[in-house]
Amino acid sequence: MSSSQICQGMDCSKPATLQCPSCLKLKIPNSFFCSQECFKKNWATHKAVHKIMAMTSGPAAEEGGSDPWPGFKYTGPLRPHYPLSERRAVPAEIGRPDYSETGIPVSEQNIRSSSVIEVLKPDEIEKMRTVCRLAREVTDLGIAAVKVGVTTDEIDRVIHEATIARGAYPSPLNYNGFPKSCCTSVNEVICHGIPDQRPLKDGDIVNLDISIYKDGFHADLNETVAVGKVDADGLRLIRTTRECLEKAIAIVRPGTLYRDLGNVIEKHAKSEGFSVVKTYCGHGIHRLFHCAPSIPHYARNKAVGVMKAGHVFTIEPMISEGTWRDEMWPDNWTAVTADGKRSAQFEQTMLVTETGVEILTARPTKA
Amino acid sequence: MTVDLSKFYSWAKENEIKWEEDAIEIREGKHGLGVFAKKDLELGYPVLEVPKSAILSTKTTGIANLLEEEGIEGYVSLTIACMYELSRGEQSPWSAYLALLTKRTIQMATSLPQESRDMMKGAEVYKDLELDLKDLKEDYEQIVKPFIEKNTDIFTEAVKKEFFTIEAYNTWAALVSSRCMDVDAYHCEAMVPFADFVNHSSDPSSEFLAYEDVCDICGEIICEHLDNDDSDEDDDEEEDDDDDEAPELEPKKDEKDEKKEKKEGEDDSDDEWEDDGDEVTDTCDIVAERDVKKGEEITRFYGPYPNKVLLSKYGFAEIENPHDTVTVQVDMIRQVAEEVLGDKAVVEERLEWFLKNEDTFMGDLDDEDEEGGCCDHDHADGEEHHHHEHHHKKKGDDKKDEEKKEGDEEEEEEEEEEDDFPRDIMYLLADGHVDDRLYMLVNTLLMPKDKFEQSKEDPTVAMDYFGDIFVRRELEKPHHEDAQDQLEEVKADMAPMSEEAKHVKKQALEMIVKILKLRADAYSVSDKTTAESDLETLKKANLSGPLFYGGICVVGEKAILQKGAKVCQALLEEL
Repeated sequence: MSSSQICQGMDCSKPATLQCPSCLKLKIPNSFFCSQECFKKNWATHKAVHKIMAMTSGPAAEEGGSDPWPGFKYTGPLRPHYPLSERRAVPAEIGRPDYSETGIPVSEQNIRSSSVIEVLKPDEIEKMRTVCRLAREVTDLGIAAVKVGVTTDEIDRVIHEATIARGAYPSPLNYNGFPKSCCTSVNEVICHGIPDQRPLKDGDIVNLDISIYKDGFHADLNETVAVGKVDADGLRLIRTTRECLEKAIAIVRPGTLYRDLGNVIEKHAKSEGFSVVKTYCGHGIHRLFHCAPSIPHYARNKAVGVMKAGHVFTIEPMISEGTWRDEMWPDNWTAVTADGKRSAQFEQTMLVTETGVEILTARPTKA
Repeated sequence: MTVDLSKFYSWAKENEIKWEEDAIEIREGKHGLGVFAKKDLELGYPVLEVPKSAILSTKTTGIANLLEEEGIEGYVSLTIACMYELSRGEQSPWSAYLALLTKRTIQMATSLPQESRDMMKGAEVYKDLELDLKDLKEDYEQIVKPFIEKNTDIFTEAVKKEFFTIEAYNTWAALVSSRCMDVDAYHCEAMVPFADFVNHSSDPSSEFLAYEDVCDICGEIICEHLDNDDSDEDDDEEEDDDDDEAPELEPKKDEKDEKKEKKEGEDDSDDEWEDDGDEVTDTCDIVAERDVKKGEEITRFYGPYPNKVLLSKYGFAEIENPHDTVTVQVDMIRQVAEEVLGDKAVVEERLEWFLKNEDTFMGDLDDEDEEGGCCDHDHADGEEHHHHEHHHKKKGDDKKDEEKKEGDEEEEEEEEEEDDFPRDIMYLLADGHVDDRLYMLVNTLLMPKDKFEQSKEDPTVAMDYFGDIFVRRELEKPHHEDAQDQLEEVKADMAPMSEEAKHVKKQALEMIVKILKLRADAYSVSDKTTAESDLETLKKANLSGPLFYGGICVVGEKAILQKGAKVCQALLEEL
C-alpha cells in the first residue's frame, strides 16, 4: 500500500490521504485530494470523471457479472449494459435547443413565474402541429424496430436517424446531460431509461419516449410495446395504461383543472389493481421542453392551473403493477419501481381547443 | 357551538401536517376555536408543522394561473382563491379545511349596521371601517366581478349564485383578513391550515416560523431558477443536484477495512448507494416560545398593531393594548402652533423645514435610544402596514407594481407616494407620551429664532439642540432596572437645564396639551368621564363581538389622550 498519494487538484501536488466518496463507490483508483477545500475547488471538473466512468465501465451481464455500479442494490432483475455507444452527432444545419452544448436548459431556468401557463398563438400552434406530427412518425419507426434481440441502443440509433432525417433535433440528447436521443424503459424501468447494449428479450415490455425539436418547438410522446410474447398481466398493464391516458384526455377542455386529471387516471389504474407513479409528471411543452403546468397523474394532487384554449401540454401516466414508489439508478436518470415489478407508460402532446382537445401527437388514422 | 373536528384532523394527517395528538388539540376557547395544550409543554416544543404543500395560497389554488394572468394579487386574490376552492366542494384538496371555516365565520365590524358603527365615531377606527367597507365594495365590483365574468368556463351561473355573491365575498374577505399569515416570498399572505387556529395574545406562548427566503418563482429553497438570488451556475437539474456541491472527502481506508466492510453484508453496500439528499420538507412551524401548562391555550403575537388595525383586520381589539396609538394630523399641530405663536409664516417655514429634514435627525435619535424597548418606529410600521392593507392589490408585492398598471382601476383617495410612512400623521403612544417625531416638531416650532436660523445653515446645530432635549427626555421615561443605573450616571454628568431650555420645555408641554385637546375635540372625546369609568360602563353594557371591541377602541383612544394630558401635567409640575 502506497502512503504517498498526490493530490489530484489542479496545480496541486501536495501529499493526499482523503478520497472522493463517489470515486470510492465507483472503484475509481487514485482519487486523492489534499483537503476538502482543494476538492471543492476541483469539484466541477472532477465530477465529470464519475459520469465518464459510469458510462464506460462495463459491460455488465444480467444477473451477475461485472456491473458499472458494484454494490448497488437493484430492485429487479434488469441490469444496465455498458458501455454506452458514443454520443450521436446532429448535423450542424439542424436547429438546436439551448442546452445542446452545455447540457443546461437555460431558457427553462429563466422563467419568471411557475404558475403562468402560456397560451400559444395560432402560428405557434401550427409549428407545434408540425413538430408533433414528425415526432409521431419517428415514434412509429422506433416501434417498428422493436424486436426480440434488438438492443435499445439500436432503437436509439433508428430514432436518432429518423429525427435528424426530418430536420429535427432529438430533444433528450444532452438535456441536463442525458446521453442519448430517446428514453427506452424496459420492464421495471418507469421512465428515463438510457438506451444501452441490452438486447430486448422475449416477454419484455419496453417504452419508447420520443421527443424532438424543430423550428423552435418541442414535441413529446411515448408508448409501451410488448416484445415477443408478453404474459397476460403485462398486456393488461399496457392496455390499462393506455386507457388511463385516454380517459384523462377525454376530460381535457377549457375550464378543466389540471389537478383533476390525476383523479381520472388513478381511478382507472386502481380498478385494475395497479398503482400510479407519483414522482414524474406531465408538463407544458412548446419552446421549452418542460414548463408549466406540471401535471401529476395521481389522485388528490394539488397541481396548479385551469385549462384554457391554447395551452399545450403532455399527459403521460406511469402505471405500475406493484408499488407506486420509485427509485433511481446511480446514473441519476433511470427510474425503476421500488419493488422491481413492471411499469408501463403512454404519453401524448395535446392542445386545448375552444371545444375540447386536439391530440397533436396522435397516430394518423389509416385511410 | 361544538364542531366535529374529526374530518379536519384526518385531512390534516393526509396532508402531512404534524402534531402530537396527545399533546395538542383544537377546541372551543374564549375567542372561538383555539389551539390548546393537552399536557405540559416545554419551551421549544414543536406544536405544529404544516408543510408548505398544505397551505392554500394564490400560488397553490387550482386557478393560480388565471389569477396571475389577470394580475390579481394580495387579499383579493387569496379571497377569490378560497371562494373558488370552496365552490369545488369535496373535489377541492382543501375541502375539509374550508368546510370547517364556513362553520366558523367571523363577524367583522364592517358587518355591523350603520347605527352601531356610529357608536365608534369617537375613535379613529370609524374612518378605517368606512374605508374597509368602501374597499370591499369596490374590490368586489371592480376586481372579483370582472374576473368571474371573464372566466365563464369555471364560474357558471350556478357557481356564481351560490359562491360568489357580495355577501360571500364579504364573509371570505373577513376570514382571509383575520386568518392569513405571511408565509414566504413565494406564497406571500396565505392560509396555513391548523396554524391559523392559533389565537393572538400580547403575552404569547408560541411563535410562527417559516423559511421566507425561498425562490419567488417556484417557492423552493433550492432550485435552478436564474432569477433566484442564490442560483449558482452549476449544470445539473433537480434529479442530480446532489452533484452541485462537492461531498465530504473520505479518509483513506486500509484495504483491510474495505474488505471488512464488504463482508458486513448487503445492508452496508446498500447504504453506499442510498440517496444522500434526504428530501427537505419546507414547513410552517408553530413553536412554543415558553413553557406551556396543560390545558393552556397556545397563542402567538399577531403583531404590534394598534386597536384600530386589530379591529379592522381581525375583528377584535385589546383592552390596554400597549401598541395602541392615537394619531394627530400635522394640520392640527399647525393650527395650535399658529394660535400659540401668532405667526403663520414662521409656523409654515418651520413645519416645512422639519418635514424636509427630519430624517437626518430621526436616524440619529434612533441610535441613541436603542435600549428603549418600545421604539416609535414600530408603531409607525404597524400603522403603515395597515395603510397598505387598503392597497390590497399591492400588499407584499410592491416590486411587481409596474406589471399591473394596465388593467387596474385608479386608486385616487390615498396618496400614492411609496414613501416609507405617511409623513403627515404623528402618534400619541399607549403610555401617554408623544412619539419622537411629534416631540421634535413641537420643539422645532418653539426653537429660539437664532438657533433656528443657525440650524438652517448648519444641521449640526439642530442636532446638538435636539440631542440635549432628547437625552433629557429619555432620562424622564421609566426604564428597566438594569438600564436605570446607567442612566443615573448619565444624568449626574449632565449640566442642569438652562432657564431658557426650561422655558422651551414648558412651552412644548403646553403646546402638546393644546394639541391633545384639539385632537380630543375633533373626535368629540368628552372629558366628563374618565376612560376607566367608560370601560366599566362598556363592560356592563354586555355587548359582544365587534361592537364591544369597537367600544374598546373608543375607550382606548380616550385613555391615551387622558394619559397624555396627565403625563404633560406631571412634567410641567416638575419644572
